[in-house]
Amino acid sequence: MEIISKVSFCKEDWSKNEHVTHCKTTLHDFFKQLDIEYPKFHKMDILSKKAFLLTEYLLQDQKIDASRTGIFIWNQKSSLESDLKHLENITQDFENPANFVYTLPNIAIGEIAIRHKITGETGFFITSEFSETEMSQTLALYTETYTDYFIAGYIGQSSAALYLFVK
Amino acid sequence: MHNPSFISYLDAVAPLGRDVNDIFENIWNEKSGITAYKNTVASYFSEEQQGEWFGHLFNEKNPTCESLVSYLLSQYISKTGKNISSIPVVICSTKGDVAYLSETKDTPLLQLATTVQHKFALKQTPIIISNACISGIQGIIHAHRMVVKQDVEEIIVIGVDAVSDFIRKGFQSLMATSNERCKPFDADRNGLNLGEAAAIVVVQKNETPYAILNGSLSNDANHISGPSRDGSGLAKAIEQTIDLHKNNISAAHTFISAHGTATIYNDEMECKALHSLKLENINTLSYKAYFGHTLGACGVLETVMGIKTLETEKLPASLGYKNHGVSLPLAICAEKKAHPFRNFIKTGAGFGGCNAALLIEKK
Repeated sequence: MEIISKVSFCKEDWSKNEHVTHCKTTLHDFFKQLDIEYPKFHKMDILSKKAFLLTEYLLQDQKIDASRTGIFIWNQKSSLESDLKHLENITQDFENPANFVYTLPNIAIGEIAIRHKITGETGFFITSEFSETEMSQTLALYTETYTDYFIAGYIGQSSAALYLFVK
Repeated sequence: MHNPSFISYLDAVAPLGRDVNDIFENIWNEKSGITAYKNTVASYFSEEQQGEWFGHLFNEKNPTCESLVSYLLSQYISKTGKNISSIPVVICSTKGDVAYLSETKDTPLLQLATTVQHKFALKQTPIIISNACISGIQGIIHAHRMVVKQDVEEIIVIGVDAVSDFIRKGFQSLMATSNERCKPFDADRNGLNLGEAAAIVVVQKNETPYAILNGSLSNDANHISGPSRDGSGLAKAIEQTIDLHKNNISAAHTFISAHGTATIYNDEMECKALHSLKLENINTLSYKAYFGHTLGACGVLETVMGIKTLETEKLPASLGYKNHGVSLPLAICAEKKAHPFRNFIKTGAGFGGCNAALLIEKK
C-alpha cells in the first residue's frame, strides 16, 4: 500500500473557536472555494461535511476506480454532535428524521460514496487513540483482490486527515 | 484469501432467552420476543428478566449494553476457564448505551469499550465497529481476516444494541416502524420492530466444525437512508463472498439468513439482490419477528442462530411470513423444517448504503 495523496485540516483552519458550532461558517467557506454544484452539502451534519470536503481536496487531480475503492474512517466521538442535536429534538417532542439519520457515524462515509460513486468495502471505527499504524494494519485486512484504492483517515472534532492509498 | 477461520464458541442473550440454547428452542417453537412497548411494540428485557437473569449486573447504574457484554464475557470465562486478558475483543454496535446520553453528554461506545476493558483487565482496548446495521457481520469478517491474514490466534466478537427513546423516536420519525409484530417478506409488512440483544462468537485459527469461508462488504453509493432499488450493492457483497464457493451452494445444502427487516424497501431490495445471483430457490428466513431489529447486534446474533441450525439440523420458520410480498419469487421458509444443511449465507444492509455477506460452513 502506498500513500498517493494526503489532506489534513486542523482546528485553526476551520475555526478559530473550539466550539464546534462555529466551524459551520468556515466549512461553508471551504465549500465555496471548491466552486462546485452540490446542494446536498448544505443538508449534511458537521462530520459528513468534514468528510465530504476532505475527500474533495484529496481526490483533486487523482484518478481512482470507484468500484474498486474502499472507505474507512476513524474518530473518537462518533456522531456526537448529531446525537446531542437529536436528543434535544426528542426532548422537545420535535423529531427530525433528517437529523436522526446522521446519528450513525458511517453516514459520512455514505455521503462520500454517493458523491464519488464508490462501491467498495466501507467501515467506521471508533477509537480513543488513532494512529497511522493502526490504520495501515486495518487497511491490510480490507485489501482484497477486488480492492485497489482506499480513502482512509481520522475525522475528529478539532483535527482531521484523509489519505488516498493505492495497492 | 482462501483459508477459513473457525468458530470455537458462541452464545447470545435476548428477551427470548438467557443463553443460545434457550433462545434457539424458543425460536424453533415460534415464540417471539416482541411485546407491547411504549406507543409501539419491541423486543426488550422486562424488569423481571433483568433481575432474575443478570442479578447484580443489571441495575439502574449499569446500562443495558454494558450489562449484556459483561454477562456474555463472564459466561465465556466461566464456561471455558479461559483468561481473556490477551485476546483481542471486537465490539459491534450502532449506539451502545445512548439512553444515558443526557447524563453523560459523551460518546457511549467509547465508554462501553473502556468499561469492558477495565472490568475484564483486557490488555488492548476493544476495537469498536460502528457501521450501522452491518456492524455485527463486519465484526465477524474483521475477526476472520485478522486470523487469516494477520495470523492472530483468536478474537472475541460481540454485537450489542439496546432499545431506547433515542432510537425508537428516530425510527418512528422515519416512519420505519410497525406497531404490530413485523412480517418480513410478507405482503402485509409495514415496517420493522426494534429489539435489544447481545451475541458473542469467538473466531480462531485452530479447526472446529464451523468454518467461516469468506465474508465481504460493499457500498450502494445511492442514498444515505434508503437501500438501492435494484439490490446491486448487496448483490456485489454476496457475489464477492460466494464467488469461489459456488459449488458448495445449492438448495439441498444451503440456507440464507436474510436481513429481512420487514420494511417495504429493504425486503424488496434483498429479493432483487438474491434473484440477480440466482439464489431464489435457496431456503431463506428472517429472524426479525423473533428478535426485532437488533441493529449493530443482529449480524452476530443471527449468525449464532444460523450455526445452531447447522448443529441441530433444524431450520426455524421465517416468522410473520404468510403471503409472498416481494416482487419476485423467493424460497421464504413459511414453515420450519428439519434438514441437514451444510452451510449458510448471512446477509445484511444498513443506512449509509453499507452491505455485508458472510458464508459459514459445517465441516
